[in-house]
Amino acid sequence: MTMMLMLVGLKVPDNVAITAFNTLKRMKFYQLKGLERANYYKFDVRGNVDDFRKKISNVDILVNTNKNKFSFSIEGNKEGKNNYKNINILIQDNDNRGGLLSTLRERLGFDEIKKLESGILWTMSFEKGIDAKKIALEITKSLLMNDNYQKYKII
Amino acid sequence: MQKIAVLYFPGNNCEEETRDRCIDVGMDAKIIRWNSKENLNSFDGYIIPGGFSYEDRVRAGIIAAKENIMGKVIEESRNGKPLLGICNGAQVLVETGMIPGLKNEVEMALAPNVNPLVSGYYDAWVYIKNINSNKCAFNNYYEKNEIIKVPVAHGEGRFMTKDKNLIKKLEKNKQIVFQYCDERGKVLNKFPINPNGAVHSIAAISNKEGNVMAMMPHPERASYNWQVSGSIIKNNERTNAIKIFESMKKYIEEKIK
Repeated sequence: MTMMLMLVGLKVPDNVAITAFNTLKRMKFYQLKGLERANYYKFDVRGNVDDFRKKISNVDILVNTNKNKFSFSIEGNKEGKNNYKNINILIQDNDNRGGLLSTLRERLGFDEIKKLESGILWTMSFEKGIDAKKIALEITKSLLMNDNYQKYKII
Repeated sequence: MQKIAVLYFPGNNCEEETRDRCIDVGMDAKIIRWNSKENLNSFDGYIIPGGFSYEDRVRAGIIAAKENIMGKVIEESRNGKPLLGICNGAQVLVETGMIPGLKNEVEMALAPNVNPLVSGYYDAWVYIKNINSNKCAFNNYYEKNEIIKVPVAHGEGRFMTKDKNLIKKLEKNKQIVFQYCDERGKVLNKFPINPNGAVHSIAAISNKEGNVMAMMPHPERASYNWQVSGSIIKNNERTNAIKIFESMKKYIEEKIK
């Protein structure tokens, strides 16, 4: 069994991330310099991972290549642009009901997927030299997540 | 005459029906945009209508909850003025922490529906009943256990909380105002009677003082016979759903003016 990560973002401006960024500025989080969002999928797959990557990136349910960009690693999100420090926070619902997994397996025949975790990955950029992790957690708890049904993880 | 501000955020779509129901029961209502400079102190009550404010970006209701106008509305409601959130408005009130409002934090969520038929948006006609003893600003014309037929239309309407003791506290404080039930008034915590999987079949909750209420169903869409699905009589006679607005008027007459 191999674990495989997939991040799916937008090629076009992401209105959700822009609205969240503007709201956070209104909430006086001036230290935040950038905010990006991606759909996060973590698969446990059996068999040839390269073949699976090709197949899964052509499934319109996860990726529409006309508007989405995707990658199979989080490394690109860790490196901040313009000398900024990035913090990546994954938000997930506590009760993941597995609807997407059953769609992929039962409707699209992805029998090789044994487990699927999904969520929203927020990448926050801060200037270096400040306690970025602390501010990122404040942002997460005050806007990005409702902890009555969601959880977060720094990755 | 009682002056009501129906607050409009980009993406709302029920502001006109909501304003009309206020006018129908004899109040003076006006739609106020989120960026209006109008003095909100001059209004006697407030309603946040249904729809999809900010396209439900990030989470339903959260962006509107952080708008400056909400700060003013919260201040006015703390002085006892009535504030009703319907559907998306309920999501806004929960995300501000005003509902249930027992601590200075967000104690509940309106989480994505749990529904065996569809994921995401779901609409249907349901029954709710008044279980609260006329303590709240929006139910004082209802008999105890009176049943109302109303539509629900949402993707994130499941009242829930991480606090295992909260529901007991809400019951003790009589903050649970309406519960989903069958047409005879029996509360069964299963689909489709409970259309979204809400804990304790909750359809509406008030704050402890009773002047703020978040409700997921839409009374403004079920206030006349002609609006009600399956109604044999399609005339202009009022249904009991309009009592939500009549109750608000009565509360203002007795407590505010």
